[in-house]
Amino acid sequence: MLINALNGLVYGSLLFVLSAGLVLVYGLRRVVNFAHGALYMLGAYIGWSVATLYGFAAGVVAAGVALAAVGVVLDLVLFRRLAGRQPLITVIVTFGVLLILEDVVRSVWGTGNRALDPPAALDGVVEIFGAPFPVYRLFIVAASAAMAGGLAAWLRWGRTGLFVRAASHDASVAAMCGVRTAAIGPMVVGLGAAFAGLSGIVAAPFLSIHPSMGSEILVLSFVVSVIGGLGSFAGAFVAAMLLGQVQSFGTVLLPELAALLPFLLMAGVLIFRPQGIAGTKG
Amino acid sequence: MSAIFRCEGLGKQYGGVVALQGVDLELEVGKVHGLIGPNGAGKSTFIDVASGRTAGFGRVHFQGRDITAVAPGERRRMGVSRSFQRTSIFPALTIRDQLDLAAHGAGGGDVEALAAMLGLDRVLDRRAEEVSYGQQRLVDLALALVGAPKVLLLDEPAAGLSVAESEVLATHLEEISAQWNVAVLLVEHDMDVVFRICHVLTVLASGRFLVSGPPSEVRTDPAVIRAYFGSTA
Repeated sequence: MLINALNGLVYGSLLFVLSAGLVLVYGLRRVVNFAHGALYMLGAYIGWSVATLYGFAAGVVAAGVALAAVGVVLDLVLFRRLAGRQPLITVIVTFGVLLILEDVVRSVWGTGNRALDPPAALDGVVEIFGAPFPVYRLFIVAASAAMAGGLAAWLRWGRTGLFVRAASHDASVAAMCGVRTAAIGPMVVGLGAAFAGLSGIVAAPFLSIHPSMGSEILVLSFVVSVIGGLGSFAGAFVAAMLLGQVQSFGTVLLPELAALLPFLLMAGVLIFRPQGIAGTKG
Repeated sequence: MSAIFRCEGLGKQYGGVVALQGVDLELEVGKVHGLIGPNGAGKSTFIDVASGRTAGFGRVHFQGRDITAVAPGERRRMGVSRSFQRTSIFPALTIRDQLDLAAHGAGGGDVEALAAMLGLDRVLDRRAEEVSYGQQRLVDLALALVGAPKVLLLDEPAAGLSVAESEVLATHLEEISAQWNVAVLLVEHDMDVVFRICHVLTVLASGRFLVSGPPSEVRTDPAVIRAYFGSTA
C-alpha cells in the first residue's frame, strides 16, 4: 500500500514538473502547446546522448540548457505570433511542431528504445517499512520538489517572477506599466521548455526513452492541466498528485481500467467543476 | 503657460467605423482638463491613442518632443501615465506587488507614501480582489500615480463609486493636480466630479471635437446640451 502511494508520488511529481511548463506557457501566451511532449522527449534524448559520454549530471544540464534554447526559438518564431489566435490554429501549429520534432528524433537517434541507468550514487534500493524501494525514484520526487519549489519561489518573490505574473494576467496593461513583455515571452517559454527537457532526462532512467514517449505523457499532462484548471500551478499540483495516485493504485486494483481512470477523473471534474480545481469561470 | 502634452489630429478607425477624428488637445501643468461626451463619443479611444495603447492617426508631443512612435512602456518611464476604465487589472496580485511593479516601470517611486496618501496602507499586503470596490479604484489610481508622473491620463476613475467615494477621489485629484505639478486629463461621466475639479473642458460627440472652454461656459453651450439631450430645450 505504502509502496503504491510512493510510486504514485513519483509519477505525480514527474507529471507536475512537466505540466508546470505547460501552465507557464499557457498562462503567458494562452497557447495550448501540443509540442510540449516532444520537448520532454527531446530533453530525454539530448540528456541521454550527453549522459552516456560525460555522466548523468552533464546530461541533466545539457537537457535543461538545450531545451531552454529551443523554447526561446519557439517563442520568437511561433508562440509570439500565435498569442491571441484562435485555439484551433495554435493546436494545429503546435501539433505540427510535435510531429516535426518526433521525426527529427527518429532521424538522429533511430526508432528503437534507449535505456539510461541511474547514476551510481542513486542506483540502489532503500527499505521503507520493510519494503524495498529504488533510491532513484526518491530522487525523482526530490528533484521535482526542488524544481517546483524554485519555480514557485521565483514567481512569488522574484522581481521577474512578479513581471511574469502581471504579464500573465494582462500583457498589454503590464507593458503599459513598464514591464518589458517582449523579453518576458522568450524567457517564460524557454523556462517552460527547460522544465519539459529536465523532466525528460529525469524520467529517462525510470521510463524507457523512445520517440513516442512525448505523445504518451502529453495526454496525461493535459489531463493534469484540465483537472487543475488551465493556467493554475496550485491546481496542476493537486491534479498531478491525484493522477499519480490514480495511476498507481489503478494499475494494481483495477488493471483492466487503469488506462481509462485518468480520463474518467477528468470527465468527472469537467461535469461538476468545468473550470477545474483551481481555475476561474469565464 | 505652455502645454506639456499636446495631441494633434488624433484619430482612430475600426474597419469602416470612425471612432475618433482629428481631435486636438493640450494639457498644462497643474490643471485638470476634462474630456466629456455622451457614450460612444470617443473619449476612451482618445486616451488609448494618446497613451500609445492603440495605434491611430495624428501626433502626440510631450515636453516638446514627438513621442508618437514611442512604446507605451517607454512613455510611462518618461512620465506619461494612464489609468484604465476597468478596475482590478491584476486581481490576484497583492496591492504592494502591483505598486512595486508600477514603480519599476516608472523608474522608481515611494510606494509606502503613496499608499498612505490614498488610504491604502492598511491593505497593502492584501490581494486586489479581496478589498472593496472603492479601494480597487484607488489601487488603479495609485498604479497611475507611482513615480510622480508629469502627465496623468485618467479613464473614468469614478465609475461605479458611491457619492461619498467620488468625493474622496475628487479631493485626491485636486490635491494631486495642485501639489504634484502634474497635467491631468480626466475622462469622466460623473459631472459632479468633473465640474468640481476641472479647469478646462473639451467635449467630444461621435468621435469629433465639439467645443472646449471653461466648465461654466461649456455647461451652458447649446451644442453640448444638444449632444447630450438631443435638443437645447
